[in-house]
Amino acid sequence: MRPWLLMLSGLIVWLTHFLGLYALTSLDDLVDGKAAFRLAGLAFSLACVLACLALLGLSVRAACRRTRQPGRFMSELSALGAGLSAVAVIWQTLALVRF
Amino acid sequence: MSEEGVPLADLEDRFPTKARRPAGELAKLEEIWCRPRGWGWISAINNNFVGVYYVGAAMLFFVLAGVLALLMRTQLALPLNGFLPQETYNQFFTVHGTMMMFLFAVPAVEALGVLLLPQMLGARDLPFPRLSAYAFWAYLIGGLAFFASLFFGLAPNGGWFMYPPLTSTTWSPGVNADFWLLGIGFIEISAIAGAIEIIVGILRTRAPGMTLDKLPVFAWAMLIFAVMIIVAFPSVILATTLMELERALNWPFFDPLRGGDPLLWQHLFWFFGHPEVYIIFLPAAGAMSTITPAIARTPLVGYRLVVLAMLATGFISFGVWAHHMFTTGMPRLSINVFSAASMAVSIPAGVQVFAWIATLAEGKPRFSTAGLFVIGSVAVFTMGGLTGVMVAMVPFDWQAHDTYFIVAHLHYVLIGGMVFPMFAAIYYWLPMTSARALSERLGKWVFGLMFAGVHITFLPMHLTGLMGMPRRVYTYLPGRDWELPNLISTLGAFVFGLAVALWLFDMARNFRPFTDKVAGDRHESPGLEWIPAGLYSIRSIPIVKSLYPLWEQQGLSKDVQAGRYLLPGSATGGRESILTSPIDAAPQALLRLPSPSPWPIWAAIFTAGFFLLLTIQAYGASIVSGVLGVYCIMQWCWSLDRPFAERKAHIGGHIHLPTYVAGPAGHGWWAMVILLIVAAMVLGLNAFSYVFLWSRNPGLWSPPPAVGSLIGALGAYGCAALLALTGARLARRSPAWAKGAVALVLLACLLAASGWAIDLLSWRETGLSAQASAHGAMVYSFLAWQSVFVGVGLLMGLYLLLRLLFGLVAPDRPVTFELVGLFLAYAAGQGAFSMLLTRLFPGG
Repeated sequence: MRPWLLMLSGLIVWLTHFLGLYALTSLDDLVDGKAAFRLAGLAFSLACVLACLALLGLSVRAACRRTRQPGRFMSELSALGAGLSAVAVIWQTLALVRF
Repeated sequence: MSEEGVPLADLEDRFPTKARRPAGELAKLEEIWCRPRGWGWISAINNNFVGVYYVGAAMLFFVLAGVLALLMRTQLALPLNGFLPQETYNQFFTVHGTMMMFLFAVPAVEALGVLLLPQMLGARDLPFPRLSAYAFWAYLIGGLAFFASLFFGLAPNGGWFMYPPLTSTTWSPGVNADFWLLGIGFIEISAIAGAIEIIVGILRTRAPGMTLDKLPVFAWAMLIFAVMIIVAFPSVILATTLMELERALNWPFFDPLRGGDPLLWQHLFWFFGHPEVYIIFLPAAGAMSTITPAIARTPLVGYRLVVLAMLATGFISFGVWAHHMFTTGMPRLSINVFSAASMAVSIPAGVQVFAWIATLAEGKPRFSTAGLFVIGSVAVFTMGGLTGVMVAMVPFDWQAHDTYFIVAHLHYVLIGGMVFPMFAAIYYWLPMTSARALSERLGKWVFGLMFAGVHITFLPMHLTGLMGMPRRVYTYLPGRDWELPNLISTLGAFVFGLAVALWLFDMARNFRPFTDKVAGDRHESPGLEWIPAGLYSIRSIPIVKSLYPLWEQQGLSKDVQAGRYLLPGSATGGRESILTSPIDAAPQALLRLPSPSPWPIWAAIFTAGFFLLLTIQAYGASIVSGVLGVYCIMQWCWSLDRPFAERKAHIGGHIHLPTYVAGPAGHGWWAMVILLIVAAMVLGLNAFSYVFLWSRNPGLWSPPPAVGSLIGALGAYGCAALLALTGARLARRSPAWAKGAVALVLLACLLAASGWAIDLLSWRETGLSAQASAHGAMVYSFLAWQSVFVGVGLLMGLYLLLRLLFGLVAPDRPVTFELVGLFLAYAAGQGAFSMLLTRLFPGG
């Protein structure tokens, strides 16, 4: 199970971020628009972006070290997924920002 | 699980073998996998038969739903037309949408998987052929009964999404809505059965060497598709169950007067409904990514990115369900979040489209019919995707919602993303199963008419929608400028219909399945599925060293056909394949496949009978049918879990594999775990429903029962889980322990039932009624769901007892014990979770 989780780790962070934001925005509605939930959402998003970047770094390092397949392939997918998720989390967080 | 197995390096040294194969080996294989005779055609279970039946049934439903579309378009050709009465029109659009989504799109791609995957993966069959047969027959019977409801005026009429309150008993008092709720719930069981088969098949029956980086894109797509079914479909099963409970027993989940909320239905339905679009699209995209390199004669550009895009689609598609609900008054921040996700989901789809275009540009494309459908698909799907981004923008969606613009958008997406790839797949892979290929000349006409038909029908609908024409109206007044675009759309629909009629004519003329010789590859394709095969699927199981084995492994096809690879005959005298590890595809065990049996078919018939009789409120007959269904399933399982005297079998090249494995090394364990994930998803979504309904009206929620009953029931559940798992372990020890193990498991069943009974009685003592409020309805929905598990657990206990009495319990066959133990432990955990949630949240 561990190799699968590592391969999908970036996307899992993205999904966790989405569900977290959904929960926070719903709570924000329930308690009538307190700014605290918006700030909590931004802090949570920052943590998720950092997690994605850390996973990206780890995956790239693993992909460079591994020479055998399918380990290298899985690390490459993990790196791509973490990179994509970092962008997706930032994009998603824009929904919280008031311009 | 551990990645142990025969190392690939060992295999590469030994295969292909050089020695001549023994005389009679192939004849024996042919005898074992022989063609069915007489009634045997119905009880056939191997994928070369069930897969063809399955695709055929899906296309039958496509044609039937298409005929309904033509009748609807005839009605809408002119304003104030009287071709169809209003009620009939309502039934037609509901059945058209429902059939296209539930009886054509999902089953068609699942069927394609059942048909193609074994040969594509280098296996003899999928791991649970009887489950495939059950899934197919359940689907066919359920689907035909659903369609037949039209002829009795009993067809559902509330739209394919069945929104309450329109579908509540107040506004839909007949059984029409019940046909949808029970029929679709039942058909989804079939889809989940198929998904379990596909996941275990792809993870555990790949040819040695087919590591994840060499997994065909179609198999990747089918794997993600099946996992998405496991995650998404429980939502519609829960939604239909809650709605049926409201209609039949007056439990107010969706009634705002008693604390319910119709929006709960929309959340549950679209949590399934939007991923459903990608569930349909991904396998079709996988087929496109497989066919495109073959027609372009070059490897797929960006294999890794395409796999990542499919994985990302699988994840992101679960974050877009509420974009169908932008106009329902959701909180603004939530809308922003869903809008952003809806725009983001177009990125992975775009990656795949660019990969196909780049592959076509890189290679030398053949404009065969399959190739034309691939190119047509890219064009049509891209147009649908662009309007998808438009409706992801909230202000635009507010204008276009529930208009013909949305009808145009969804048809562009679904026809471009699924129907065209399906036709490409039919034209591309049909020579694999038919003595004759379809006509290329007619095929080009089919493509041309279909491509023109799509645009003539649906392009004007964008304008009709922007001019304000709402969906689902059976007629309209003249003088609103809707006449001309509607007339053009109707003409286009008949052009599309003509294309389908031509295709049917071609099929009748050329499609000759189940013959000894097939037309074979027309495109010099690279996949294992094109290795000439018999009813046994593949003569010997190859060692895969490339993503494109037939292009890059010289002589592979000949060696496989000559039996120079693994399992060239039958190692034990029965149907077999090889179980391999999920990541490295290293051989781990011999997979013994069951022989044809009528029990799965009878089980499907009685399961269908149970649901259909329930719909028409023939409760007694329904219970009898359900009992017979359970009996058939027990008969089906009775012959399983019987180890061979020889613990290891020779599969060629002096390699011996175990003939019986248990735990995570076995395929049954995987199927049970996946089934329990489905159950956990239903539970999780029910928990979401509970919290959601509380948030709508917390004032209506009453305090929970006293804490004493909580401790008693938790203790019962805890002991049940412990005893079930201990029993499963003890069963492995010695024959003397076996009886004790059965006793422990039976005790576990009784303890789980006690936990449930304590919970039920304590809630009854509080006076909370399921009919009085949404709180009561939710609490009793948890109890009802748990009662199913307690009931099944008791049946499993009885089954183990019977096996003990018939001498079928022994330490060398622990699989049945393990699976029952897993199930009971999960059931106990589920009971404890439900109880803790309903007692502690929101608390007293």
